[in-house]
Formats: sequence, structure tokens, C-alpha cells
Amino acid sequence: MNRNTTSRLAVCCVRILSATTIILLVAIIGYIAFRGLWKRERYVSDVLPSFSAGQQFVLSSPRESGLEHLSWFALREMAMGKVPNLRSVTGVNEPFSLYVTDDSLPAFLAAMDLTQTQLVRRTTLPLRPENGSLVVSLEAVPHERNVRLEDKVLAVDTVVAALNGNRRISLVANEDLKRLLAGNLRSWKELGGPDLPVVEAADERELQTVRGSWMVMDAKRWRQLSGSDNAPAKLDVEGLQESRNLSWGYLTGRTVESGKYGGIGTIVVNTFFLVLFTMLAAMPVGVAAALWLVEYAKDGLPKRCIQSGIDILSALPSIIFGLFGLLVFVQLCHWSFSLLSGTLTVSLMVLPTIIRTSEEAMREVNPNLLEASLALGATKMETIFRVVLPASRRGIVTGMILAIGRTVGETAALIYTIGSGTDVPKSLTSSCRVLAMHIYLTITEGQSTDKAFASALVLVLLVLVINSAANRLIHQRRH
Amino acid sequence: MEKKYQLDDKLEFYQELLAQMCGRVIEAISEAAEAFSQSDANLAEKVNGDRFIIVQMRDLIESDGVRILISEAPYGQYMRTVIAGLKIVTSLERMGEHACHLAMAVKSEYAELDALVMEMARKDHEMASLVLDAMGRWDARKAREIAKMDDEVDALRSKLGDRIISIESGTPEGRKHLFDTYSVTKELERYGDHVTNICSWIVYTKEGVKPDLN
Amino acid sequence: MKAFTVRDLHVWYGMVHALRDINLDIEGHCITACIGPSGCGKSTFLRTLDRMNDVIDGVRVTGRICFEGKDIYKEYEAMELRKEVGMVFQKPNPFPMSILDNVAYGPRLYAKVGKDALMEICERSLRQAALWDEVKDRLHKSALSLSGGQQQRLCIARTLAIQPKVILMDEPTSALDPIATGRIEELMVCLKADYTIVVVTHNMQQASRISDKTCFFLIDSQRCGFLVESGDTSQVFFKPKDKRTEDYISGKFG
Repeated sequence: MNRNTTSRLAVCCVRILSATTIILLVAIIGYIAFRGLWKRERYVSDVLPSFSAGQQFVLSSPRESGLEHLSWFALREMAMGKVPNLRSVTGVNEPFSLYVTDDSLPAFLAAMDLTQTQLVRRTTLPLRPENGSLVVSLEAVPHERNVRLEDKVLAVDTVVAALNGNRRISLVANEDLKRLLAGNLRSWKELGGPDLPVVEAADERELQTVRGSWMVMDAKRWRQLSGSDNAPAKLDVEGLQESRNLSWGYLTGRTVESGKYGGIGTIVVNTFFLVLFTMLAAMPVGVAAALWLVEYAKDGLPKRCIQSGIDILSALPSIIFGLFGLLVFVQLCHWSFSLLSGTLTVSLMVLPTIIRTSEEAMREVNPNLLEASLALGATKMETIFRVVLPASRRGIVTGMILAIGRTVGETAALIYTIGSGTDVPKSLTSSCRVLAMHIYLTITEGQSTDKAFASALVLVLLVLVINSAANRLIHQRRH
Repeated sequence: MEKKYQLDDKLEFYQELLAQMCGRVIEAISEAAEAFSQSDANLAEKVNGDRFIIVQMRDLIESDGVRILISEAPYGQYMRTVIAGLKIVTSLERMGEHACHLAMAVKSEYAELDALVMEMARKDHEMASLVLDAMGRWDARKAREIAKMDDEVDALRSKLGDRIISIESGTPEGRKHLFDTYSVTKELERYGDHVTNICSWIVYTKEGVKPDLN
Repeated sequence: MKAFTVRDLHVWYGMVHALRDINLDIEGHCITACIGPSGCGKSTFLRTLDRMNDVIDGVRVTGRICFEGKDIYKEYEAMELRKEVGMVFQKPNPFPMSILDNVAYGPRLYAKVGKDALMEICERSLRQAALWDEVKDRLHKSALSLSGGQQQRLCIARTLAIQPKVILMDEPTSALDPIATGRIEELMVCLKADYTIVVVTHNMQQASRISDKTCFFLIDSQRCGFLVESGDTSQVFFKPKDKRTEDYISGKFG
């Protein structure tokens, strides 16, 4: 093969590899961004989703999220005053109030199969309804979100929902529901039920007579039938809710239930505190150590040992720092899980980075400048503070930014040292959690991958900002 | 092999040129004396022609000296050598002119006077030969001795002057001859003075101070 | 009045004997040139005069150097000495700060100076260094934006700002073009009236042009520097006492 062909082949390979890398990068960040911005939640519902009847009234809620859709049964319970608190829906203690305007009252009562006496409502609509309230009116209320009322159920022959051996259909998954509605489902056995053919009933009578039949029925009608014998059963379905994930409320709200609900407002503040205290602890020590290494240390065994030590420290896995922090700061010093232990652990971790970059920056200072300063009568200390440090400040700041980047993303070292309290720490000895840890805990304790992705997106953006700031500083320095 | 320096080469060449010019001036006075005593018109013509070469050599040495100063920027004795050389060639050129005048002069009728003129010319020749030698080695002591010899030339001139005054000449032609002879002695005395000047420049080169040796 | 008297100076760099038996006096208010081939220790000698050799490890200095009658090692702190004896280096080395901050660096070390006093000092120093007219409207620009010759004059202004008595210059024009060199030489001749100047130079013409006294250093067979002769410049260049001097200044060396 001649050299030209080899060269072209090589260029091709390089192009393919770099394209792969870029695609990978875009894919990873893109996926995180997508999951962080858009969440798809599966939830269990006793009514069919995305079926709403033509109602004569409008349901609206001042909440931004959490009440996008409402099951007919749940609304009936709320209307009867049986739901005092919205905690089970939003995770926050919010007292519930129902406002029904007078002109929509008849239609509402008819739709809900309620009498006026059974209804518990507030009559006067305030200018700004509270967060945990629901408003029933004839026209849409401005600045409030429409709540979708789902009032159809999946009614089936009782046999279908009955115990079959020791199995029973518990839930119709979203994909199976689609197949059922499209007529692609053959037998109830596929859903875990009896071996009966799936047949769509034309009316109520067929539903009660034909075995294995199903139909979509009004919730109100089903409820009316449920008292009688031969009443059809209903199957719960799995709904898929898609909504915006990361939002300003998430960024500023308080964390609830270890990340399942609520926001990351306090977490972000905690991260800021960790970064601040780590820099306060590590920067002076690091810069002073770099100064000593460059200006004062004589070449010899002690200096070489120290430099090897710094290199080794920078290569240690972070979990080892975590263990060290656990043994020394948490247990030996009796600080237990606290911001103090976490700060000191992370400072130890970022110290080598700071020392290395500061050292390099200081070495780059032209020795002629030092001579000039000394010749003007300055002492060595004065020269260091007036010439060396100002001249190397870009490099030192770059090191600081890299250290901040590492601090923000640190998980392993903090797991055993900083604890997991979700509030802003009152003192250095109280525990708090930071962003990277919060992601881990949201998945393990809080069980919400969507919230985890939202936090991840925030973290990725933070790291991107920090790194681009460092890059710009470095490139400015080169000029 | 010993390293050769450009400066040494150039100065060697420069001094060689000086010596050559001095040689020609010595030759000029010797031939002029011969032409005078034999009244040889052809020899006189030759001396006149040689003078042209002497002037050319002066120009050559001057430009060579300037070139050395510009290119080598020498200091110390090297610099003094070049500066002295530039002054010496001026004197040498005048000496050539004086020799020419002697060659073109006509003998007077008085043997005593002519003998004295020849004596002066011989003295000049001797001084010039000695100065050539001293110049080759920049010998300051020798130069001082040579300078003293100028006194003898001056003495001869005043002796000649006394003689001329004492002679009574009847004819205007005779008086003109006497006058011409007196002029010739002036030329020969000036020749000696120039040699003295060269001697003081030799002392300058060696010792750094130009003495007044008159 | 003698600015420096040097007696029996020896300088060692570790085990290497760099300078031996230096005995000379440096006169006040005149320009003294130190000449000699490379590596003969003239820069070492210059740096010894303001104790700049102290910052190098392993340097040993014996002998007695007196500045205005006082021993520079026993009766002066290094810092105090360097306030009286300033140094300008071969390669211009302005700090990466503004022109004003460069000139003000020295005065700020010694006293808390108000803004007006500082401007006055800077203007005076920059005028003395013949740089004021060129930079008076860009005092806050970076010193690195100046040309080589201007930077060197800035370094001189910076040294003048601490009001020393002596200015040492280590080949101040060897990195500059002839025009810049000429201006610095003019400057040196002007400064002679108020300061004592000691300059190390490789340029014979420069030494003969501007200096009043000349010292000629040479290196011996053991690679140790020593003083061959010193005296008035006109004497050293017109009738040097030593043949080695004559050969060196006429360009026969190296």
C-alpha cells in the first residue's frame, strides 16, 4: 500500500474516532439534559388516563405541578371533605380547599353524583387561591393550570379480575393498555389473568354476560352499578405522566423525603458552603506550600520526599480519603458526620491540585524580576508578595477553579463524612448534604430517578461553567 | 602555530610603506647632491620625477592609516603608531621637495661654498638614513640622538651665511648665484628640521608624549 | 571622595575561585567602566558591590569593601545597602505592572507614600531617565508595551526613584539597538553629575566614550579573574601600562 493511501486511511480513522467521541459526548450530556428537563412518571390510577368527558365546568389549580390530572373518585372524596391534606400527592403539608362557584355548582353536583349537603366547599373565591386548593368554575381562571378530570374506568367482567389460582391481574401496564384499546390483545393470560379471550363489550348488558369482556365506562355509572350484583369489576391502569422536570421551583424549593419530593434549594446552598470552607482551608495551605517548595526549599532529600508525597496524594482514590475522614475526623475527633469533617476531607483531596498548579505558576515567574526587586532593596518576603504572587495569580486562580470543580463533584469522600441532613447547616458540626451526594441519595433513599436526573443536570451545568471559566483563564494567561 | 592578528598584519604593512617612502626620500637627497655637484641635468630631471612618486606614496599611506583607524579602532601604541605615521609622511613629502630644489640648483663659482653645501647635504643624508633605522624599531633614544645632529646642520648653515656675506661680488649674475646658494642652504636646513620633526613623532609613538626637540 | 574602596577582595562560587586580589577605589560622581573578556569576573565584581551575590547559594566573599567608609558586610544590612546602591541589568526587566507602579515600587517599599507625592517622585525619576515625554500620557499602561530601549530607561527610572548614591550597570546596552544605546549613554553622562556610576561593558568604544575611569579585568590560567590595571580612561586607552590591556582594547584578544 503506498504512503498516500496509508495517510488517507489514517486521516479517516482519526475522523471516525473523533466523530465517535463527539457523538458520545453529545449523547451523554443530551440524555442527562433530556431526563433532567423532561420527566416521565409512571403512576397508578383507578381511572383511564387521557380520557376526559365534555364537562360543563373547568377545574383549575394554582399549583405549577403535582395536580395535572385528577381521578373522578379522588375528586369525589375531596368534594366530600375526606381529603384534608394534599401531602400524599405533593409530599408537602398543604391543607386542601375546594372552591366551587355558584354558577358551576349544578353541573358539578350532577357530574360528581353528589347532593349539595354532601359537598364541602368554600364559596367565596379569593383573589389568589392557596396552593393546596382546587377551583371549580364555568370559565377558565387566568394564571392557573387546568386540571384534567379523568372520569372513565376500564370496566371488565368480574371473572377477569378474580383470583386465578394464586394470581390475579393487578395492574394494566401502559403499553398493554394501548394494545388492549387497539384490539391487539388476545387473551387475559398475557396480563396475568385467566385464559379467556379479550372481547370488547358493546354495552353494559354484554359486559355482564360475555365472559372476558371489557368496555370503557363512565366512572359515575360504574359507581352506580357497583352496589348491585353482577356488578362489573374495574382494573387499575398505569398512567404515564410527562411534564417538565427541572424548574425554578425545584432549584429553590426545600427537599422533602430525601429527594423524592421538593427541590434542591438548600442542597445548592450547602454545596456553596462546602466549596467556601474547603477553599478557605485548602488555598492558604496549598499556596504557602507551593511558595515554600519554589522559593525556600533546598534541593535535597526532604524536598524530593515532599514532592513525591504530593504526587502520591493526588493519585489516591477518593474513597481512601473518605475512610481516612471517617476514622480521624468523624470518630477520633468526635466531630461525627458534619460539615467540618467533610470540609477537611475534601481539602486534603484538593490540596495536591492546588499545590501543583500554584507551584507551576510560581516557577514561570521570570527570575530576572526577582533580581530586580531585590536590587531595589526589597526583602525576599516583600518580593514574594509584591512580585511573585501577583505575577502567578492567574495560575493560582486556575488551580482554585479546578479544585472547586473537583469539590463540587465529590461523592466517595463525603459519603462517610458529611452526613445527609437536608437543611442548611446551623454550625460547622451539623451534617448537610451536597449536590453530588444528593443524587446518590435520591436514587437509593428517595427512589426518584427523575429528581435525580434533574439534580444531575444542575450538577453537569455547574461543572461545565466551572471548567469553561478555567479554560478561558488558562487561554488568557497564554497570551 | 601562533595566531596572526589582522591588526598586526595591517600595522606591519603600514610601517613597511613608511620605510619605503623614507628610503625614497633618502635616495632623493643623495641623488640631488650628486646632480648638484656634477651639474647633471638628467639626474636633476630624475629627482624631479621621483618626487611625484613620493607624493603618491604620501597619499597612499594617509588613506591606509585612516582605514586602519576606522576598521581596527586601535588604542595605545598601535593608535599612536598610526597617528605618528600620518604626521611623518607630511614631513617626508616636504623633505622630498627640498631635495628637488637642491637638484635643480646651479653651482656657484666658489668652490668653498659648494663644498659647504655638499657637506650639508651629506649630513642630511646621514640623518635621514639613521632616522629610517630608528623608525623601524621606534627607538626613542636613537631618535633623540639624531635630533641633536640637526644642530650641526644649523651650524653649517650659519657658517655658510657668514661666508656669503663676506664675499664681494661685482657682477649682478655673481650676486644672483650667491643669492641662489643661500636659498639652497635654507632648503637643506629645512630638510634637517623635518628629520627632527620625525624624531619627535618617533618619541611620541614610544613614550606617548611629543617632545620639542628643536 | 571615594565611593567604594575595595581591598583584598576574593570571591568563591562554591569551590571555584572566581575573583582574586582585587584592590581598587571607585571615585564618586564619575563613571567607572569595567572591561575585560567574558568570564573574567567583572559582573561578579559588580554584583559584589551591592551584595547581590548573597542571593546565590554557595558564594563566599573575603576582603573588605567599604562604601563611603563603612564596611558593606559589617556595618550595612543588605537591604540598606541596596537602597544606596542601585543596579540596572543587562536584559531590561520591568515588572508586569503599569509604568507608574514600576517606578513607584521602590518608594512604596520604604514608606507609605501618598498619591501626590508618588506622582511627583515618578515624574522626577522619569524625567531624569529621559523617558517622561514619551510616557507621560500612558502611565497606567503596562510597562511591557514599551520598546526595548524604553524598558531599559524605565528600569533606570525605577532605580533612580529610590534615590541611590551609586548606580551599577551590568552591560546596560548590550541588548539594545545603536540608537537606544546612544540615548542611554547620553543619559549616563547626564546622571554623572548627581550619581556615581559603575558600568560593565564589552564595548570598547562605549567605555572610551563615556567613562572617566577604566578597570581592566582578565582571567588567568586557573580561570580566576584578577585586575590588570585601573586608571583614568584617557590614560588606559592612550597609553596603557600593561601590554595585555593594550592588546585587549585594540581587539587582539578573543
